[in-house]
Amino acid sequence: MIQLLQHLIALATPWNFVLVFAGSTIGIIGGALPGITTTLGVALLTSVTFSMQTQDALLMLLSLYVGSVYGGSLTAITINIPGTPSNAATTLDGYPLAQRGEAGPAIGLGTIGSFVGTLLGTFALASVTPLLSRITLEFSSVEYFLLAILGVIVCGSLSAPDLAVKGWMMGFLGLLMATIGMDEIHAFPRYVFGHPQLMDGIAFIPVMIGVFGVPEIIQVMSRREHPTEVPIIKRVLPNLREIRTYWRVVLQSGLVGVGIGIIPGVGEDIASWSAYDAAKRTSKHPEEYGKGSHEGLLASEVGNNSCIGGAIVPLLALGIPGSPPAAILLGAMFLHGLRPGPVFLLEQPQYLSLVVAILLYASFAMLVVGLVVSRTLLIYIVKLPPKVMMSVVATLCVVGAYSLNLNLFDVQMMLLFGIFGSVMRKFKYPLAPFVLGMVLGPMADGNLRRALLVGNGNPLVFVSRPVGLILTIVNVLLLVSQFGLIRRITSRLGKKPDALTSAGAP
Amino acid sequence: MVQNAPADTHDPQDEVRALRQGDLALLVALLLFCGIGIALTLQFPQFEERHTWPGILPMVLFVGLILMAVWIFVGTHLREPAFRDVRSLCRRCREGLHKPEFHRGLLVLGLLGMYIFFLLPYLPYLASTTIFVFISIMAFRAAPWWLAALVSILNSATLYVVFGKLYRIPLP
Repeated sequence: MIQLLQHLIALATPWNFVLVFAGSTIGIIGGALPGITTTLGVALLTSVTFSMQTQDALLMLLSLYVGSVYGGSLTAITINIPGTPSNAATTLDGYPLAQRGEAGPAIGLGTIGSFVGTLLGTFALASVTPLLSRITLEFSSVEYFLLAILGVIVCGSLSAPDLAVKGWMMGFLGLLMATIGMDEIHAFPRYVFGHPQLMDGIAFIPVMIGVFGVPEIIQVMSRREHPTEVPIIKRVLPNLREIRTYWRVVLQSGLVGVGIGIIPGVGEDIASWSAYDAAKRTSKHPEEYGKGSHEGLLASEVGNNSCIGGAIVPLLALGIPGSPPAAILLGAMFLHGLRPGPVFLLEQPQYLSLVVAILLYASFAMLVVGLVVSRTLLIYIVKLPPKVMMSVVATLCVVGAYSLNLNLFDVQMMLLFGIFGSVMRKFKYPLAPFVLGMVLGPMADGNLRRALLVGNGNPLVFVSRPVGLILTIVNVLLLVSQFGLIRRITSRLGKKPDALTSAGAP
Repeated sequence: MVQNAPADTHDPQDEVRALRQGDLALLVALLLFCGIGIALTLQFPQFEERHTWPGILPMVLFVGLILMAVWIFVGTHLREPAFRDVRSLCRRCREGLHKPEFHRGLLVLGLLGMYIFFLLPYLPYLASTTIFVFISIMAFRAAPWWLAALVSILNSATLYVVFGKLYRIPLP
């Protein structure tokens, strides 16, 4: 607590405020622009922060992260287009409110919801991370390997829009990509095919820019367009007395958002939908949801913003990102010489309070920018032609991919993985598990081999410790639960071909 | 500001069938990839401590991917012969190849490929980026030529100043 206060005081300098407000404003504008997702925004800004001090880089990146997750709600409410996937649930009640002439109050409500959500997530980050960090000190290579596999399986199951097994496949492919390059135990080059550029493995940031940036560029450039009008927004400041009456849905959505955030690789979009769904199920007026419910709007916005703090919990305590933007944040921290993981907070405990302090400032900056200038920003944002904008984004992607190692090979990799991402997205293979797999690959590889070395090659080493046993059981249960589903679905398919539309597969 | 075109109305059953047929094509490619991967992994040398063989994790993953591919195949394709209907698969491919979205997607990839493989290695950054942005905007008729020229020059100059001069990050 004292350390947090020290950081809050130390960060209160004009230059830091400039960085926080700049990051937040760029995040809100980027978030509001359809096509620039939070992940892409953080990835592109990472290249700018290479030459910055670590603290300055964290200030900008975290402020952009918070601003971007909120920024998507502006266009979701006013023109029914979510700026980022995490604001898709916001359109359900935000847009009907705008159609009723309540766009201003809806933006205000969404802004307050995002602000409170970020605060709840930050509180969870400050309180849960030290506990988790203490528990992970007991972990050995067995638990770390099983945790990496669990992360990929859970992320695959939750993020797959079609079949859970497709999510797992993407996670496994990501793990495989991470094995390319020099092996860390024997220094044996794996799958490098004589390319010296592959000796260090495939650089993570260019791949992230490729899989999240190139498909968006293709999608925006390829679609047909229709002009859209922005409704007149008179007053954005919300009625605080009214908001107090929604404390239950705010708290519940915050908890759901934090919980989803802590699960590796899942992220804000699922947090938003889960919070919305939970709020609807427990509401006294579920019939109002989807027709302009204030509760529904709040649930979605609190859910996605509270997920930010939750996603940083496993990042700092385990070195496992809780969301795709957090994965980029992890890459950015690596670039600045930080190594988040089990002993990170033990060696450098000041970073937890620093991140908490930055998130607090970022949430206030988001609140101020959201309430004061969002109206003006929206008018300009909506006028930007998306195809012109995406041409510019393409050049930013190239610079972002190049600036890491200063070679064109990384840019070519970005394009290659961009094509891969576009094809996989077309066939509904989720990209988040792939990215998580790439992040967790080195951890899974090294710990699997160390565990087998300790166990003298006996695979029973994975169930020889209580935590390892529990993780193995959870992994097996997750896989088996899908087997149950496949049996039910295939038997239904065998009787009724019509049932294809409802599920169709494992 | 522009909005997405309203989504085409699809028959959901047909959409699921298209997805499964797409899966089938991808699974064949995946099995081929795994086969090559396993062959390459088996060539990894054995070290003194055999439990730390560099091919352990890749081998586990390749086998896992093959099992998952078989899982999808058994789960749907064998139960529902319509997924294996080669004629409808070919028809779908033909239709897809003639869609304007596919052509525009190819154009985007072509432009990106031209920028990365031909412009950047042979021309200075400012010139190559200006040409790429200008051609991209004009190819999609996103703005009049003078605006395209203005945006492309301004964008290149801004990137050059911000990255190259302000943050001293070398540009391609």
